Amino acid sequence: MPLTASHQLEGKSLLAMTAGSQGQVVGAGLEEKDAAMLRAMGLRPSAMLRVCRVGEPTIVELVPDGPGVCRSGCRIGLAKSLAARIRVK
Amino acid sequence: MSTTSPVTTSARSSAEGTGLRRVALLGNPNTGKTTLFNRLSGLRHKTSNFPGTTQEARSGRVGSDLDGYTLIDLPGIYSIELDLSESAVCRDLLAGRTAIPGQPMAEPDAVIVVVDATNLARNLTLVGEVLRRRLPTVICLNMMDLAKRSGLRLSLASLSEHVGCEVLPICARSGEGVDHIGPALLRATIPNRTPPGEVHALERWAADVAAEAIATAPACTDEEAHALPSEDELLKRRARADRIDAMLVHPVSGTLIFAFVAAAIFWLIFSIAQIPMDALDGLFGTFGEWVASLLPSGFVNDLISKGVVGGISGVLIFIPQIALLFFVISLLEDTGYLARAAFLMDRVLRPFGLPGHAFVPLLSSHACAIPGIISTRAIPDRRERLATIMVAPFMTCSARLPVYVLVTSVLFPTSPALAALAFVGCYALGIGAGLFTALLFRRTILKGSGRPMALELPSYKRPSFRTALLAAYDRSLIFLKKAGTNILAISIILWWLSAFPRTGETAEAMDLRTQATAAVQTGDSNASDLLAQADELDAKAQARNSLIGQLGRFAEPAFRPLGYDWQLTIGVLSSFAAREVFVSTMAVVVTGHESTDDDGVLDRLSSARRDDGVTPVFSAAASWSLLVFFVLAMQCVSTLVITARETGSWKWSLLQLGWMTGLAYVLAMIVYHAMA
Repeated sequence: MPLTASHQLEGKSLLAMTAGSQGQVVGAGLEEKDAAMLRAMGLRPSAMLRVCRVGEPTIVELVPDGPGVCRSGCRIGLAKSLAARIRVK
Repeated sequence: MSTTSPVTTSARSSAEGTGLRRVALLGNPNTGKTTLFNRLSGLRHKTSNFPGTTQEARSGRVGSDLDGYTLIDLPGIYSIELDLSESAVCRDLLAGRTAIPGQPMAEPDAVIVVVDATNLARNLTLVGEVLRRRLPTVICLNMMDLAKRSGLRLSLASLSEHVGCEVLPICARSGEGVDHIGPALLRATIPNRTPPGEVHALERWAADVAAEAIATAPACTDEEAHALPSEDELLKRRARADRIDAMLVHPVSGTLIFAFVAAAIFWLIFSIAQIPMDALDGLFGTFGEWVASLLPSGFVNDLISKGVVGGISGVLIFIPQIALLFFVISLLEDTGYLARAAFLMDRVLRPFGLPGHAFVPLLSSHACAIPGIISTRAIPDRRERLATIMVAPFMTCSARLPVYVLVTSVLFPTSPALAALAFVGCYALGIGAGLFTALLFRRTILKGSGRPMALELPSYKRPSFRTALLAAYDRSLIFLKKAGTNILAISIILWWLSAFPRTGETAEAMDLRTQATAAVQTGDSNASDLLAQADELDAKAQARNSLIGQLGRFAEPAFRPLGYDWQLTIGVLSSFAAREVFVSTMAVVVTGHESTDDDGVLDRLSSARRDDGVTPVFSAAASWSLLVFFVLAMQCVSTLVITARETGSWKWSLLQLGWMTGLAYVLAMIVYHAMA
C-alpha cells in the first residue's frame, strides 16, 4: 500500500497511538516527495514501529520484527503534521 | 534476485591502466561516513562545490601522490533516486555526469558504500541502488562494535555472497579494519549481482539479504554470549533513550536545556575565544611595528605595515571564534543532541516560515554570517533555505561587537549595567528583524508551504574529538579562502583611500612642533604632548582631505537625516566593506590614531565635536541611530559574495543589501528623530 494513498485509509493516525505502543504502517496520505523521503528513511508500508513520543515532534522507533525494517531501533522524529497523516494498525 | 555473470574487471585496471584514481564514498546519514573519510584522508582534503550546485564536495588524498587515490565524500543520502539535490549529485557523479573541480568528468573507478551494521535492511536498499550502477564496489560495514554490543551478529560471507562484492567489517571511530579498505579497493570488481530496480522489490531484496545475514550468522561463543547485554538491560537502555528524547524535545525542559547550551556556546565564542583573538591582535600589532621599523618610511612601508598586515590581521582574528564554534557544533552533532534541538527550534521558527534546520546556520551567524550561510546547505527546502540565507546576516556577528562596545560606552560611560542592557537589546533587535524578514519573505516572494520536518534521530554517543577538530579546521579553511581574500583586498583599498592624496604637514602642526622644539630646549615637560597634538592634527587633516574624507563630505547629505556628520559618514561608508573597520576609521578621523586601546582615545571620541565646534559627533540621538543602523544594515561585502555563490544569483545579494540597508536607514532615522 503506498504512502501517498488517495483512497480511504485504513488503520488509525499515528497521533492516536500512545507512547510505548507498537503498530504497523499501513499507509499515509502524504505528498509524493515526503512519502518517498520517509520510505527511504525506513518508514515504509508494513514497517513495524514503536511510538516513543506523541506530539510535536512525534518520535517513532523502527523495530526489527517484520519485513523491510531496520534491524535495531532507528529513531525518526516527525513533525506533528506528518505524523497525523501516517496510518498504523 | 537476478544475477549476472561475474565480471573480472578490477578497479585498478578499469582506470585506463593507470591505477585507482577516484573513489566515491557513499552512505546513509549517520553511518559514520564522514568519520571514515576523515580517518582515510586526514588533513589532506579540500572542500568545494559540485559545479552548478550548492552541494558541498569534499575530496581527500589517500595514500601517496603516486599510488594513492582521490576519495570523494558524497552527501549522506537515504536513496539515490530521491528528488533531492544531494541525491541528484550522487546520481550524476556515479554516472560520470558531474565531477569535483579539477577532476575529469568520468565515472569513479570504485565506490565505497558505508553501511550501518545496526540498520542493515534500510542501508542495503541504498547498496542495492549503487550495485545497479555496475561500478567496482566495496561495502564497509561500520559500527560493528555497536552491533556486537547490542547482541546483533551478522554473516559476512552471506552478505558478500548476496551483494556480489567484498564486505569489510570496520569501526571508523577506532580505525579497526580501516587498513583493509585500500587493498580491497584494488581487488574490487564490478559486482556480480544486480538487485531489482523496482522500489518494492528492492526493499524486499534488502530485507531478505539482511534477514539471511542475521539468520546464518555464526553462533557466539559462551564467552561472547556471557558478555551480551540481557533483555532487561536492552529494555532499560531503550527506556532511558525515550526519557532523554522526551526531555530534550519538551517545550519547557527542552527549551531550558537549549538555552543553557546556547549560553554555553556564546560564552565559549565570546569569552574563551577572546584569549587567542587578543593574542593574535597583539602579535599582528607587534609584527606591523616590526615591519614598519625595517622598511624606509614612505608609501611601501605604509602599504605593507598598515594595509597588508592590517588586512591579514583583520581576517585571522576571527579564526578562533569560527574554529571554536564549529568544534562545539560538531561535538553536539556527534552526541545526537543537534537533531533533537532542531525539532525544538522548529516549533519556534516555523511560525516565521523557517524550519528547525535553520537554527544551526542562525547560531553560527552570531560568530560570522559566512559559515552560517554555508551551513544552510542542510536545509532541504529551497525556499526555506533562501529565507534563512536572507536573514542570517541580521544575527549579531563578531564584527559588530567593537561598534556596539564603542557606542554603548559613549552612551553610558558611567553605567556598565545600562551599557550591557543596550548590548543585549542589539542582539534582540537583530533576531527580531531577522524573524520579521523571514515572515515577510515567506509570505511574499518566497511564498509556499514549508516541508514538515522528518529527521533521523541518531543514537546518543560519546562525541569524537578527532572529527570535531577536523570540522573546525575545515570550516576555518573555508572562511579563510572565501572571506580572507575579500577582506584583505578591502582593507588595502580602504587604507589607500584614507592615505591618499597626501596632505603633508599642516601649519598648526608645524607651529606646535616648533613650540615642542623650544620646550625641549627650555626643559619644559610639555614637549611630548605638543608633538602628540601635532601628529593628531596632521592625521585629522589627512583623514579630512583623503579620498575617503572627500567621499564622506560628498555623501554626508544622504546620512544627515540619520544624524551623522561627515566624520560619522566616513565611518559608516568604510564599514560597508567590513563592519569592524568602523572603530579604527573613527579613531583615525577623530583622534588621528588607529588604536582605541587606551581610555584617552575613547574619551576623545566621545568628546569629539562636529565642524560647528559645539555639537558632539557622538550625540545621544546620533549614537542610538548608529547602533540601530549597525544592527540592521548589510555592511559586509564578503557576505554578499557568499550569498550570491550559495543562491546562484546576485539577485539575492542585491535584495539582501537593499532590504537590510533600507530597513536600517528607515529605523535609524526614526530613532534619531525620536531621540533628538
